[in-house]
Amino acid sequence: MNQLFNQAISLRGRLTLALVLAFLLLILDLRMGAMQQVRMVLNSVVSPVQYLAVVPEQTLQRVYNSLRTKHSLLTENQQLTNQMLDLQGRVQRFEFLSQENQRLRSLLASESQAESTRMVAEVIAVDSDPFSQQVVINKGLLHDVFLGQPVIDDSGIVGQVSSVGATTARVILISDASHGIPTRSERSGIRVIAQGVGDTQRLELMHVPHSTELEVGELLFSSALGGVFPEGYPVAQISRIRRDESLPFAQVEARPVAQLDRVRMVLLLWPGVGDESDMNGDMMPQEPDQ
Amino acid sequence: MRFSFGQRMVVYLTLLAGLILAVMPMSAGLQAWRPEWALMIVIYWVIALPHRVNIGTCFVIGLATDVLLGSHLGIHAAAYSFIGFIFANHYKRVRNFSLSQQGLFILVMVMVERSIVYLVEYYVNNAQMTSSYFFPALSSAVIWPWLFLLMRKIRRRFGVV
Repeated sequence: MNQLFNQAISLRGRLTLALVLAFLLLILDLRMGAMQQVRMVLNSVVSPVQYLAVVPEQTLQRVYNSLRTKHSLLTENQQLTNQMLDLQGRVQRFEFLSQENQRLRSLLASESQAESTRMVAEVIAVDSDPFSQQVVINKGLLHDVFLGQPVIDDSGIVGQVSSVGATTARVILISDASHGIPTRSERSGIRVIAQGVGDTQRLELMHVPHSTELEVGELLFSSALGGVFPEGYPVAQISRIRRDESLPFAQVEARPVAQLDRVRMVLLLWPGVGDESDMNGDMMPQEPDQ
Repeated sequence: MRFSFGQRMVVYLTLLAGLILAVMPMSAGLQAWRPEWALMIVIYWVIALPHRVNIGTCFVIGLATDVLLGSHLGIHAAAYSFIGFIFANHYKRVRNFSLSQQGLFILVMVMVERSIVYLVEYYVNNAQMTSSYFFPALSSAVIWPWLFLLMRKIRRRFGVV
């Protein structure tokens, strides 16, 4: 009965072993790169848990969908058709502008901008860890997702892929306290780094001098300077500027354009490969490379 | 007495359920109150079968939590192992507690676990404490009596000893 006392290792020994092991793991994990492979395997191992965890919600959604009335579906269809018409009208204009832009660029003999391939992914888990702002998406290595891949939603940049499993990937949001994104302001073209602070509604702009021309309401676009995010996607809008002369820099806050607190569907980008046609989540992107 | 395959499966399946509950999407308002399901279920098994389930299992469940939550590997593993050690040492005492006393003990233990996690996170990446950080300790303590009864029912139904 009392096997507790004739075990090979005593409880205290086990605890010491566990703590030492945990400490080693933590050290290895903090030295980025050392654990990337291990994390990939572990992520793949636990991905069934993540898929199982969303089953109830998805079932509810399905039940809700099957219970909807014909009338509400027709209304929604009408709305979507109108929206599509509107968007297509704008796309015509956009294509014309993009061609004109290419022509002008070639006239100036400057490098033309590469377009990117995209894929739709669904958010299957949002972290309950209060110290990190991350989401898990349902695409992984099997869909050629890679480390550091930019992720956007319909309004702006969401974040980048921070670890990849076989069928899932973890996306670190731009609002995570350990994430910074290089941006350029819309009007004045000033380059600033937008640093997350662990709040989905707020980014802080780093090292902005008091004499800055930035204004409240100005949009910040990604500047592609870090080599991670492609250029020209909206990131955040400046919400507050405080010029306190007793501090070395002006305190500038911005609100992310993407709805980070209720992100559901995201787009993965493969920068600089081929055409913009791959909008279908089931379709494979064309030869994505890093 | 042998620990049969079926009995082992009962333990593993309940632990798996705990992990699923720990990452299941919840509405934003309830999110802060999510009880520490995985920890409570592994604690139950430590109290019930201290010679089968103890620090090793706690470590594995903690590591799985680390991977699922995307925190640095080893943080929850260490915290869970420590809590597992306490319960494995004092399982006889805890068994003799009334359900409400056990709930109080769980309240303290979840607070200890979250404090360990916070301290490590603070040293590692300067984490900020939010006012809602200890809410899960309260909700865990409230849920515990029912969880305990449910788990005991499951354990007796499948004859896991």
